[in-house]
Amino acid sequence: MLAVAVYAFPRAYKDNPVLNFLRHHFNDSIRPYVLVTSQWQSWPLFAPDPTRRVTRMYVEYNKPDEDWEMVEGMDYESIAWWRHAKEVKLIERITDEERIDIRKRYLQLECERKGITKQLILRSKYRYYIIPTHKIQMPVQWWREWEPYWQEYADVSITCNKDLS
Amino acid sequence: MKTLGNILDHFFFQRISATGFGLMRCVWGASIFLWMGSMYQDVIRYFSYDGVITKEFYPLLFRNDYRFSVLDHFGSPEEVWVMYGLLMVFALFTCIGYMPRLFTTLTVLLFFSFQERNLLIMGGGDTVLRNVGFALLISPQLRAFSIDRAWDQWKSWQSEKKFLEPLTMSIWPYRLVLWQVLIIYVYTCLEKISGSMWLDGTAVEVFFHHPTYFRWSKEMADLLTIFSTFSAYFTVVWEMFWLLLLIPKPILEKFPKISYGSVKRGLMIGGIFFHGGLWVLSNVGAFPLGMATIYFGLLLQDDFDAIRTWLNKRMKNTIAILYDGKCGLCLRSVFWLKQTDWLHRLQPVNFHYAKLRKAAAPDLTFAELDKALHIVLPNRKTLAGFDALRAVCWHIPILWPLAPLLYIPGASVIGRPIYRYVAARRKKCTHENCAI
Repeated sequence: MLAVAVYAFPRAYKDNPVLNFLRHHFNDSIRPYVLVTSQWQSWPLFAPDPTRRVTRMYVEYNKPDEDWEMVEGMDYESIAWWRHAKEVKLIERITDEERIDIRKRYLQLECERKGITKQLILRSKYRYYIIPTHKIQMPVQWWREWEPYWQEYADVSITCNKDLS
Repeated sequence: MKTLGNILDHFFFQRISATGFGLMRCVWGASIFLWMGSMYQDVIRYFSYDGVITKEFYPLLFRNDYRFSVLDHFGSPEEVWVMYGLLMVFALFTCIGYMPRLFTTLTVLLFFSFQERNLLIMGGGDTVLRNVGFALLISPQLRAFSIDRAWDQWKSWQSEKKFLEPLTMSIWPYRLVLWQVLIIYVYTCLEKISGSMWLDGTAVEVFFHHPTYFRWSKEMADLLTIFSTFSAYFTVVWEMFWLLLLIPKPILEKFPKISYGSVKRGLMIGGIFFHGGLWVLSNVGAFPLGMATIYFGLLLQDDFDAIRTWLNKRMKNTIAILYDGKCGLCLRSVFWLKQTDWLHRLQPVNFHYAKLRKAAAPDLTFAELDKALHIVLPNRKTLAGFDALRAVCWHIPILWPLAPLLYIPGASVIGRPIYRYVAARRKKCTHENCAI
């Protein structure tokens, strides 16, 4: 019980002297137990502040001498509700710079999933906006008049039917 | 020293009802089945070597020590499908309680393996389900609410005409689950108050306007904004209030009209509204499901009694069920009714005993009772046959989903002749078997 409590203590309080003392003296004993029993955990649920960035990933393809077009069924809105939570987590967690190869792998699987065998170029495109925040709750009318300001950028691209290089 | 030993013994090994943990095992098995079942389209993408995480990404994504996953050894698409199928079957067995120790252990092993194989898709709900799995794995008693237990009861009912004593267990697994719930709520509260938006009361309006999480339209989000500040403060205060459960019972109960159990039940009712609201309004994965599951492990006998008292507030008397004590089918039906009579509302009466029959239903003759099952409701109204059966459904929680269906137009037209057919042939059954 103590091991889980010490291991999972909120990161926001990492400078707490008591916690530092416990971690410093007991971490070597706690860590194997918590990891082997799969009791590792952390609880920053919508915390310290809820994320304000709204991100959407789309998959596009390119035909020679034509513009990019969105691949049907690969847009964010077409994810079924029962797949939504997992798929969104996956997409969000592979957006790190160091995970660029995983994003390429994701696209490669999309080629296979849609049965794209021609040598089309597939790329992921991100659209995002930031939800505004204030020091006080805003009136309903303010929110009704607010419109998201979308920005976008193209991300990685791959050629379908080719191995990941 | 002896006193300290007694305190520690009481703290860890006091006997409690095993019903809460039995229910938690049952709901956990169903939750794993539903949650993992929702991934059937993505099993290969998420968990196999041919999926998103190929072996080359292991160093990037996984810790290299104290980690175990069966899927590291059986990672081809075919093998993953087999493991997935096994997990689903094991989860169902865990839910119904067929060899609960064995299948709970196997479900935990496979569920942990799937989680450790792809951390990218995991959320808070997955963690809660994992925590519950661990508590079940080490719990000394898992047989409550299982078909194995029902079988034991049936054997006892057949041979001795009485039920076995209720199952009990040491309290320490309950304390472990309570501690886990406290960690979830108190730690997330500490995380929240380390930022600014929860304290400003603006966190919830941002949450409502985040379409990744919020299920409904922007118009709905705009409208719900009026509850933003209240919801933010309610969340933080309610989460921190769980700390009250760390106060020793004798101290907490020094406050007038406060009992430890009522504080816990009050917090849990808050949780039902909180997680229920979260589930209705937002798409946050398995978190509401996981929390609903872990709540069952917090239920002690006092809580079951309190729930029963509340549900029976309007019941002034029991329902007499007049059955044929010489018919095997009726005896078995009474066994199941007694087994599922969690609200203690039914009073079976063998109408072959004239004294009991006359006390329960003085207006009914033996001949009438011999034709069909009769019940006498607390208001002395008498119902027979199919009508009696469907009335009884309202008083048996496990049959609540079925009860309204028996009242849809046409149900009685079909139900009454079927009942008459079965009742006419009921004496062909013995206590052991039946061939109607």
